[in-house]
Amino acid sequence: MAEHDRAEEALARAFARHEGDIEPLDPALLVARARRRPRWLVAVAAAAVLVVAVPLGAVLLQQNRPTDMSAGAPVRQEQPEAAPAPPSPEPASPDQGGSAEEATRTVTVGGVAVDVPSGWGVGVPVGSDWCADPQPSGPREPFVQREWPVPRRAIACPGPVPDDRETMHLAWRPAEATDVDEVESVGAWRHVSRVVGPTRLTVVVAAGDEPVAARILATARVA
Amino acid sequence: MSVLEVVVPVAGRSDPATFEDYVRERSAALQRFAYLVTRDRDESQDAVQDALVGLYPRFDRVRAGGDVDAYVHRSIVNAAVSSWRKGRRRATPVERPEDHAAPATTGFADEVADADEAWRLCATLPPDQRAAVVLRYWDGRSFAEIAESLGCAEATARSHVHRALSRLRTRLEERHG
Repeated sequence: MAEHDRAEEALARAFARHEGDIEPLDPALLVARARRRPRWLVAVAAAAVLVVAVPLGAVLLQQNRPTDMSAGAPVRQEQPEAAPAPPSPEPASPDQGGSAEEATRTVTVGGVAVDVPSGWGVGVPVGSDWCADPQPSGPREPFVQREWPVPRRAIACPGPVPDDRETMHLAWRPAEATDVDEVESVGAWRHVSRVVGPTRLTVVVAAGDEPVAARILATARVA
Repeated sequence: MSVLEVVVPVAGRSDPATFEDYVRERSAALQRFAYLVTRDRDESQDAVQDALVGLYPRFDRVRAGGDVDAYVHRSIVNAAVSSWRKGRRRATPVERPEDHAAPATTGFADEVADADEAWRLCATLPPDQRAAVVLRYWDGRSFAEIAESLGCAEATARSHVHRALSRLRTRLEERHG
């Protein structure tokens, strides 16, 4: 066999051998996820209703004003009783903060699916070898840790990751028997952890943003 | 029979009329394609999911315009390239000892060793080049179709495949002296 043909055969065999490395997801699940309307779309629709409804209401009120009013006289407008407030697309609970309508995307880490803000990228968390880089490196925007184990250099840096090197992110590792759901304080950052199936998820957020982390972790489910 | 002869011919594929039919019929193959390109189970699932989220609202338009698979393949490859660029800081995965096949002499063992060598080579390719090779030797696509899937010129698709083949040929020759 010519070497060229042999290389082609080798590639075809390699792919044929490895195509079965994954168990494909149920098509019905994929369809359901694709059909799920992004939350931001709902928010935009609600905002569009308000943009149209408010000026229209003002015009109607203006048209209903008494015609014999003298200029500058105080106008008392009747407030309609029990006027329903514009429907909130998704009622926000107290712990949902102001970003309840944020668009999300589903990422799968360690066999667990999690909904994170759609703008989050992929990256490697700064860790115990943080002092190896003279200049701060690593992602500066929120991200998801994709790989496990995380590659680290064998350097013992003094203390935890400095606050200015940290970035909001979702980290994970295989769960251990002693793992519990917890919140850990590291400088100005909070590590909010939850065990889901075989995986321990940690969302690292700035102090005060724990509800954001809780909201993300609440979406975690075994994929 | 050569393994290349059992690659599914593209012309034999059906044309699902709805998004649901398309996903039912093609999602397993799309996930396998994504895995062969990303070489990561989680990443491949996410790439397919995101591609289908993007496809759903425009399925009819994409279908009317041509090859739906090409649209989804392009989304998957774009996601893989994006992830690869963001992850340049990541260390190169270390091969496990069992990945290194012992030098084989002839027959079946030789074919397995060649396939292992090809799999290791693919790990070193950029995702778009890897996708071109997967589309060619796993999916049986023509260079024109590969170009459409990757959103590149046909000459670029040919170049991706030929460069990978050239490197693999060199490796195989070195291994066999």
